[in-house]
Amino acid sequence: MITKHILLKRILPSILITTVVLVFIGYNFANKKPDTAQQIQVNFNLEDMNGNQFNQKHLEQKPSLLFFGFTHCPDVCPASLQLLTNLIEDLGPDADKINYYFVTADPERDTTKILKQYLSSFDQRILGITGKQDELKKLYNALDIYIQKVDLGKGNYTIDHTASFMMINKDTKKVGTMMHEGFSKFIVIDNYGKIQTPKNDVIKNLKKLLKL
Amino acid sequence: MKKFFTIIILLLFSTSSFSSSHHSHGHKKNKEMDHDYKIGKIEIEKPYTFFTPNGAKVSAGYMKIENDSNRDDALQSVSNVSFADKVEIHEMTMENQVMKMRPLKKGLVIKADSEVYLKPSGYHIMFIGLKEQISKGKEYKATLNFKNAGSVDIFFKAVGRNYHPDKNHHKHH
Repeated sequence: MITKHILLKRILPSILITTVVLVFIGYNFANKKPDTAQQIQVNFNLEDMNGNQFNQKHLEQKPSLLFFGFTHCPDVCPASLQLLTNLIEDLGPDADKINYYFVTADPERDTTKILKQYLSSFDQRILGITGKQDELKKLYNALDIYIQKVDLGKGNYTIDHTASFMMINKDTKKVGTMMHEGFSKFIVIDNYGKIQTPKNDVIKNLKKLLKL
Repeated sequence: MKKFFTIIILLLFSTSSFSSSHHSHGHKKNKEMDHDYKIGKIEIEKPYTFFTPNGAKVSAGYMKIENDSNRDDALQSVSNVSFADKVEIHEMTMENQVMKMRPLKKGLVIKADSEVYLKPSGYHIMFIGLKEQISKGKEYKATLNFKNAGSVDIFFKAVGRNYHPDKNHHKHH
């Protein structure tokens, strides 16, 4: 009787707690591991705004910064493109070591022609990308980009979309994201969700993560 | 009598805005100070819009709205816009790095004795189906319709993205 009592009162709870802790650690470990060095390996076939093919090979040439948006977006997209334009200017000669992409979230309306016209208002190194919905989806999924068309009635729609920049190194591994802070500047965050320091030095953090 | 007075005030305001738009290239400092509007207990400060990228079909307008009265008011609609097909009042939110935009069907509430900022990444007036490009230095007319205070004509000033309504500060150059 006594041994059963001890088993129930002392040993069982400790076994339970250990199990919970182990499962928790295991779960976190399993969740974090692929995050740290997610390699983009997708067979997507898209088109840039100049009518050239755009596929996996282009991502392997240089580190890339990708933004997903649409030209019917009044606020976050033009703001992001302006911030990117400022950033490219601030990067100076290092700017040419990175490729910059504006990938449409709205292929129905954003043709190559429209993208080219729209992007002519920003730094000329930002390349517009469009293509078939299914092909775009491959790239969205590979980079964990959330894109959701929202019907506003009377034929109007808007698109909910991830509004941070994806940072990919030369090995096509996602190394971090560049986020807005109050629409006036960027902050750089690594795959662990850690804000890079010094917080205000975006250029320095960008170079560090992309190994420029 | 009250109505007559309101009309006079409205007339005064519209003429002063009209004349200030004529001097858009010269007296910048005076214009900054002229760029506020009032209707009843509602005050509208420095409405502005960004000049648009080439070929843009949409744009957004921003301002600060102050309600000095002791009851809530609401911006119910924006009308009288000649440069766009349609105008809506929108709210934007950022959740898990995802930007969402929704029309405020019942309008934008400005609580008693408080203020609301329409600003990038928050509330904005959305101009849909632009008939012309928003160009720097120009002013764009619209009528704001409030539930209690009534309607007021305002002009959105077209500015660059480094514009700040409080200071005339420029990050670059």
